[in-house]
Amino acid sequence: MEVIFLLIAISIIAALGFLGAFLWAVRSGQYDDDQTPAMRILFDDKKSTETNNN
Amino acid sequence: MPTLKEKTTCYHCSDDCVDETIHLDGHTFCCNGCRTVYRLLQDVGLDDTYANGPLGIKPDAQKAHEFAYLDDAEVKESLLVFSDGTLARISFELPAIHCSACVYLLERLERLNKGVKQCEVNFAKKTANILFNETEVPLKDLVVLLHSIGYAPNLNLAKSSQTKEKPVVDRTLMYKIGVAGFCFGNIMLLSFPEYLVGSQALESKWSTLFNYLNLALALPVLLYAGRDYLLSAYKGLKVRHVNMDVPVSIGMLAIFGRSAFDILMGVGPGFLDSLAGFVFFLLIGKWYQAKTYSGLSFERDYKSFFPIAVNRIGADGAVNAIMIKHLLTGDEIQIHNDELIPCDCELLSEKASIDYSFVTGEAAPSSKLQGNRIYAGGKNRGSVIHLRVIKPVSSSYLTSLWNSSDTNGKEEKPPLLNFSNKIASWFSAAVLSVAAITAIYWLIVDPTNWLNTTTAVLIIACPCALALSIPFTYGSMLRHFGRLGFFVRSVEAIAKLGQINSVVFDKTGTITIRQKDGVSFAGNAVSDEQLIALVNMARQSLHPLSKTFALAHSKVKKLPVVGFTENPGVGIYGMVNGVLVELKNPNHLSEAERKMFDGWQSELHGMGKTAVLIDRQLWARVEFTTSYRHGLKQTIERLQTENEVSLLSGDNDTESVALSNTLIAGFSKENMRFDMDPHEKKAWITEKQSSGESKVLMIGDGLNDAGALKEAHFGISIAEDNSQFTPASDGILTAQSFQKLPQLIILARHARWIVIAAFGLSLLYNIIGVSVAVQGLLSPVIAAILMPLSSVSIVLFTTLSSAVLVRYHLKIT
Repeated sequence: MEVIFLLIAISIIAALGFLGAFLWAVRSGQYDDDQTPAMRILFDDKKSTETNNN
Repeated sequence: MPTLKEKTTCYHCSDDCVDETIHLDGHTFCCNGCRTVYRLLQDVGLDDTYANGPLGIKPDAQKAHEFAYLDDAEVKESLLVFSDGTLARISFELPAIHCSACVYLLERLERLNKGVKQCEVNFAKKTANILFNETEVPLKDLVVLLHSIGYAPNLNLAKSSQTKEKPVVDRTLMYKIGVAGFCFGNIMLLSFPEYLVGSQALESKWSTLFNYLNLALALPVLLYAGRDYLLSAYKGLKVRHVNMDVPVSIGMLAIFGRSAFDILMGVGPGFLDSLAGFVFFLLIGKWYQAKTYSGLSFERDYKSFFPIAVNRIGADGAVNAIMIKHLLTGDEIQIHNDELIPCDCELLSEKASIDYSFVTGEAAPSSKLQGNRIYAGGKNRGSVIHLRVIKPVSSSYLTSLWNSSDTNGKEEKPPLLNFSNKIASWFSAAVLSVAAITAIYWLIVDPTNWLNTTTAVLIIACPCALALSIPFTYGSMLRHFGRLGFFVRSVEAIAKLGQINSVVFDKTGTITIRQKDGVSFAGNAVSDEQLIALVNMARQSLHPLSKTFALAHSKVKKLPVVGFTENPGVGIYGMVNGVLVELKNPNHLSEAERKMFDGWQSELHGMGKTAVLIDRQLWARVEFTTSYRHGLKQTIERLQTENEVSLLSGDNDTESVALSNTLIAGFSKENMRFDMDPHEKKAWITEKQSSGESKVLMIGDGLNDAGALKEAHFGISIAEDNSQFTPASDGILTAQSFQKLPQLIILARHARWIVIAAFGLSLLYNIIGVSVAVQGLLSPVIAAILMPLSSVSIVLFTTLSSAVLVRYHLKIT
């Protein structure tokens, strides 16, 4: 049963990692504009990739 | 012979092709501008812009000379966010942004001009953040480029006088929700074994570990996530004022104190899961309530309507752009056609035609002669005029409209806060007295138990559900209103809307539809051929009535006019397709013709009449009628059942007969006021509200209503589309939703009942909880079930009942 100590520690560290990821995402502005990025992916920029390849 | 052109729409802007149709690559275009943009996009491989159909915006004619002021170093400095001489960054407001193709096109701006390095669009805010190389593309050229593809940036005085710092986005609420959610989840997880197997069965070393971990996790909840509540309660109490945060803080401190005590003494697991859940829900409520419409501005003042710079004529006769804040009394300025006059001036040119519709609502331009005083806010119609500044911008007539209302100090307590504070003080008193009675009772009966039961009462009485009722009710109302085309500044404003009992309308643009005046004929029937001739002739003229007439028949095909002549004040004539047509001011008809002209009956009172002569014979009469908004009569009728409805117009009273007609609008005669200038409108509302009994809802549309909108208890500005400039107001109503206004007011009123019902429900939970607690029976399990249950059920109750209410009221339309 002593393994629970370890498991609890791991679970809290993992959860802290997720919290950190969330805080980072907020800080980097990912939640500031939740509309435009959704539109941005609608267009394939095929022309520009073609010109890049040429 | 086909008389009317078949309907073709433009591949670029989706407008009907009216005058001319240009064919290119199998597509049709309505004008050269649209074709040019299409070509431009083709050339740089941005034809994907049309992947979802036409772009839907018409490009502007390029007006490079108008932006000469953008070369001025000081102007540039006031606009740019950042500049190091070569690279510069600017944030433009582009009201034309409306679809995903806009985002696509704008974010590839660098392909249209190599000087642009990066362009990032925020769709919700309708802004574009552009990084560009100033040496390759000066700011002026960048603005012209945006104009040429149809995205005219908002460049006005307000923009240039903004503070330099980048607006800091407040993300603390997000951080707090994240932290509270994290702690809530983990505390629940660690508390779970306790509830599952019972504290006796759980080995004490686990239980101690879990409890200490919980305590550690609860600290950030109390000290970080819940800090605002504690601080606000403290501030309130310091000025002897009980707000909703006081009972909330009492609950939080009671839970934390009791739990810490239990855990440190090793007597129990405490109630920390309830604490974390409670704070988490409160923060969610706060976030839900804080919904705002970032693309709309509710704060515009005169600065948003004024240009940044004007042309000043120096002593040596040289014309230079100067920022309008540097204009001094005595300066000589030059105003082009369609430009706004930024300050009170004296006319130096011989004569001018000034359009004050922007300020007064009066549609017809007024003529001014040399030496006349011209007030700020007028627009020049016609050739270039020269003016001498009498008063600088900051003390002009128009500016005074704003400044005077800033100082009258009508700020009363917001109704929602007032309401919740009343409940809060009453609630706190009740909780504290129940706790005191419990303490006294147990001190007499069983002194070892008094602390337990007293804290249990404080814990369970924590008004989580109570505190959630307002944010969720009004928050969902705000969202429903938005969906119905009515955008309200804040939840607080909805509560204010619910209080109004008097409705005041502006006329022009508010209950009438802009530029859609009806045109009809009376007299002899006008054949298609005659109509084509008349329309083609009218197109040649710049007179407002001719323009309205031509616009109303914009689909008529284009024909050349021979011998077009315009006699100012008399009329116009010309030969089209062999027909001699004439539009004439009826005052210039002969006596007999005049009689015949007046004899032709019409149904509505019109704003203007013009005689139609075919081959020099009086043939018919054209009538221009103002068209009122669809459903005006029903809207007014419904509003009149619960409110006093009035009309304040800047126009003359020619329409009073129509407006009092119950078939058209049904305003009562004594409630209509005409010839009101902006200051009079404002004063009228001030007087109306001075008794304290009337709370006025003002509905207006233009700058001329700005003072009144601000003065009224609630101000609504009507917008034909989302990108229209609206003056500062509490709410923006889209024109299509005009008819819903009565129901929206009723909904705002009824939202209060939902809150009261939710209060009742949460009190019920509290009574159940307290009755358990006073007996000393409250266990962490009961608290852990009861508290989230009450919060969730309040959230469900308020959002669902708001939805039901909205559906009910809009079905009966």
